Formats: sequence, structure tokens, C-alpha cells
Amino acid sequence: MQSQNISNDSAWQRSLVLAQGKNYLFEAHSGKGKSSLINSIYGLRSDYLGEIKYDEQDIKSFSKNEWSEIRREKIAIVFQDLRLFSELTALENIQLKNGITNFYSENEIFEMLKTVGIEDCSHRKLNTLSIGQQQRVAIVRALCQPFKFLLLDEPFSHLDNESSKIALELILKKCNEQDGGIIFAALSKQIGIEFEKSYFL
Amino acid sequence: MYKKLLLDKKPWWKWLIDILSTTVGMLIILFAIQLIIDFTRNSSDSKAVIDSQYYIITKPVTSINTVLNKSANFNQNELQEIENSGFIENLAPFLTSNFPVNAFMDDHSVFPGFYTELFFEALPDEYIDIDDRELWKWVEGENKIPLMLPKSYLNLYNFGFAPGQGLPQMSEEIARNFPFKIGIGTGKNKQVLNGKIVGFSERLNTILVPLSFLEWANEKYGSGKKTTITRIIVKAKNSESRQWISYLDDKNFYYEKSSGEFGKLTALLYSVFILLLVFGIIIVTLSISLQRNSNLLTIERHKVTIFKLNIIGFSQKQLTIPYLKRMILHFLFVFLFILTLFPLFYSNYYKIIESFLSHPPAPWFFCLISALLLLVILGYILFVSINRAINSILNN
Repeated sequence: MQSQNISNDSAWQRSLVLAQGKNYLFEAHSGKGKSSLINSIYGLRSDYLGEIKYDEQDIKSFSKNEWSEIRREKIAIVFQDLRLFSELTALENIQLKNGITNFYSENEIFEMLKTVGIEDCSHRKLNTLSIGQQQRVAIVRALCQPFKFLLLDEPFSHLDNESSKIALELILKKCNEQDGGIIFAALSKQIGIEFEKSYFL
Repeated sequence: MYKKLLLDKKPWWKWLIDILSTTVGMLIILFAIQLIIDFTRNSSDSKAVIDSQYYIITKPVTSINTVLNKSANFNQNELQEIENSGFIENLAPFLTSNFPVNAFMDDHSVFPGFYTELFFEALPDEYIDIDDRELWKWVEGENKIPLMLPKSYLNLYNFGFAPGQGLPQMSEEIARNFPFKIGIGTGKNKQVLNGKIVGFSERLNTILVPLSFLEWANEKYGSGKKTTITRIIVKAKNSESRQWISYLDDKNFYYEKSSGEFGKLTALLYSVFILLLVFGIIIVTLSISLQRNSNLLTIERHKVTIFKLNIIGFSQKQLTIPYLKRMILHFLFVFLFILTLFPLFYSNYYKIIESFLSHPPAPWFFCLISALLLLVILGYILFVSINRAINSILNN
């Protein structure tokens, strides 16, 4: 993945190459464009200067169908605002995604929920869960697909250190299993993960 | 599971109202199509002279005529005068047979025997409206004579003569294939030919044969007397013109408009059928518009969900499917209702209409195929509107 000629700030002025299987950190204060960058890489925003390329192809040239396929098979994401479905239960939110990828069995999903400590909440409506619990649902949902890159937009902002550590271990394990890289947007340095490079926005 | 995120729950009675409104509209359309097909089939093969522009003119038969044994003939001057009146496009006298004609049944026929005296008349071919012109051809040496009879003769037979005599009724189809002999001339100069009814005229109250045949027969078997012209057919320039009608009245001619009342009735019936069709189309259009609006409203209400599903990997096709399935289900029910109700209606319609038509009504599956086609077109229109609405959400 390449990002070129992006101006504004130190990190923006470079031509960046993000390789599969490696982890990258984009660190910035609030309002400096972390989510904008993540959303741009994910194809939700196109109001930027320069180019973002995926395998040498400008992502602006992708059709709606190509984006759907990329989002099912190549790029996974944990949104900062989670974008879960409040009318469904925690488990249903995950099954919704797994239903179109058929990536994990029900047992494997339960195993992941157990790992991040929310298996007891799996049958509860999402709007009855705390933000921290919802963040973990969003993390498990993002993992229910094949991916080359996992985009994480402040995924642990509402988690305590212990829960963050456990969630990160699960993420790293799943990334290793399929040689996926992480593009991590955060307010500060992250403990427990090695980054190939860190950029400041 | 995502389907329940995209659709609202719809109570069964709303489903029923939606389905019934489309079904009622469709049934009206199908009924109108059925009527139009049946009446077109039956009126397009009405045989004789053509439209309301044609008038058949005779002179009144008075008691003086009878007493003096003088027939109400047209002379050449009168014909010339009518031709030059400026009201008509063309004119032709009816040529009448001036030899004895009789019809009888072949001894070996399975049909009951009969014998009757007849007469023939003939008009130039351009005045005869017959679908298959080949049937109306006659060349010298041919043994088969094509005939056209007034429809009223058949009715008279079927509803008057046959029941009274204990004879079977006869459909047009059977009458057309009814084998009988025609005897022309007398004594040694008599010839027996085969008669073949090729059509029934609603309009011309006479027994018509091809002009070529009658000219030949008058020449060969005629009495030698000059044939008199007792009635003529004219094509009026403006058939409804008052001057033309008053011209006829002034001349004291008796006239009948060849397709007059029948034509008016047909036109009236067609207007009713077209009105029915339009009414059906309006109901179906309203019903489909309601469907469309209801779909678009549902999509609008769920646009955030549609967008959220799309960004986690659901394709446009997957997002369209639930709406499409609901629409297909609606049309499937409509079709099942039509499939049940239309044949029921048709069998009753058949019983009522059968006696009015010379051809049986067109089979009901014609209309069901039209219904299926119409539903496919309507379905496609709805599909396009759903697809567009979802597309516009995903583009934003």
C-alpha cells in the first residue's frame, strides 16, 4: 500500500509504503486527521490530495463491487465510532459479518469472545453494553474475515490496560495466522506491539 | 439476519391490501384484453361490406308496383344522377341471378336432407370484405361456388327453424363445412355444382356469390332478359352528411347503412373496453406507485443501516436482495390470485359470451401469459427504482 505526496504535516509530506505483514503506527493528538487517514485508506473518503494506491492501483478507481470485495477479503477495520448495530445482540453483530465471509465457526467466535472477556454479554442487545464491551465486539467482528491489513482507529480508547493487552494479543495472534499487517491510529505510543515504523501526523 | 435490519415488519392485512389492489387492477386489464381480443377476432372476420360509408339503396316497393307488376328498378339516368350528385365516391349495382337456382343436399350426406329455391346476387370484389380473398375467387370451369350468407339466416335457422323441426343447431364452423349442391338452370341446361359457404355477413342481407361466377352463369343459364337493377351499393364521401341524407330522402330512396348500427355498436363496445383497460391500467399504476413509494420509504428509513452494512463488506447486490425478494413475493401472490380467479371468471364469461360470438373466446392462457409479461415489466420497473435508491445511498 502506498500513500504519496500528502502534504500538511511531517508524516503527510512523505511517500509512504506500507507492506503486508508489518505493523505501522500513526500517532497524533485529537483532531489531527487519524480517522480521516484511516477512512481514506478504507475508501470512505476521497477528499484528499495525492494518491493512495493498493497494489499499484489508485483506490479511487475501485468500483463499489471491488470495494465490497476488498472489505470482505483484504482490509478489516475497527472504526473509532465502532459502527455496530444497536438493534442486534453482540453475537449477532459478529455473526452478521461472519455470515458473509464464513471465516470462523460459532465455537471459534465464542472462543474469541471468551478471550476478550465478553462471552457473558454475547446474547445481550448491543445498546445494553458499555462502550468498552462494544469496542471488544467491534474488534472480534473485524477479525472475522481474511485480511492483509487490519485498520485500528483508537480501538482501545475505552479499555483498561489489562483488557487492552488481552485484546491486542488476540489481534496479533490473528494477524500472525494470516500474515496480516496492522495500521494503527492512536493518541500515543502503544505498549505490547512492535511497529515497523511510527508516523506523526 | 441482515434482512431484518433492512425491512420493516409489515402486518398481514397491509400485504393483503397491496396484493389485492394489484390483483384487481390486473384482472380488469386482463378482462379488457380478453374482450378486445374476442371482439376483434369476431368483428374482423365479418364478411361483407365494409364500413359505415357504404349505403345500400333501393326504391320503395309500393302497392302500385304490385298491382302493375312493375318492379322498383333503377334506370341508367337515375344511376347517372346519383353518381353525379357529388355525395358519393363510387357506386355499384347488385347483379341478380336471372336463372333458376336451387340448393339441395347430396343423397349420401350424413346431414338431414333439404331442398330450397334460391337466388344469387353479386357485387364487385372491392365491396366485399373477406379476410381470405383466395376463398372468394372463382374461375370458369371450377365446380365449387363460394357463397356468403347473411348471419341472420343462420340465426333464423338456429333459433327458429331448427328447434321447431327438432333439427340440430349449427355453428358457423360447421356451416362453413356443410356440403351441399347447387343446381343452376333448368331442363337439359341444368348443371349441378358444389356450394361452399365461406362467410356470414352481418351487414348484407343477401346471398352473395363472386361477380365473375354470376356474370358467367347469367350468360350461360340466364333467361336472356336484360337484368334489372333493383338495388345499388354506394360509398358516400361523408356518410354522416345531412345533405346526403336529405338527398336520399328527397329522391324518395329507401336506404340502409350497410354497417350502420353494427358499426356504431362495435365502436361503442370498443370504447367501453378501452375505458375498462384504461381503468385497469390506472389501478395497477396506482398500486405499483404505492409499492414503489413504500419501498423507497423503507430504504430511506434504513439508509444508515444500508451504508453501515456496505462498509463492512455487504455488496450492493446483497443489499438489494431483501427488497427484491419482498417484491417478487408480492408479484407471486398476485399471479397466484390471478391464476385462481381468472379461469373461474373465464368459465362464467365463456358461458355468457359464447352465444354472441361466432368464434369461441380466445383461450384464457393467452391472457395469463399477458399477465405474466405485465408483471415482469412492472417488477423490472420496481427493481430499477430499488436499485437506484440503494445506489444513491452507497454513492454518498
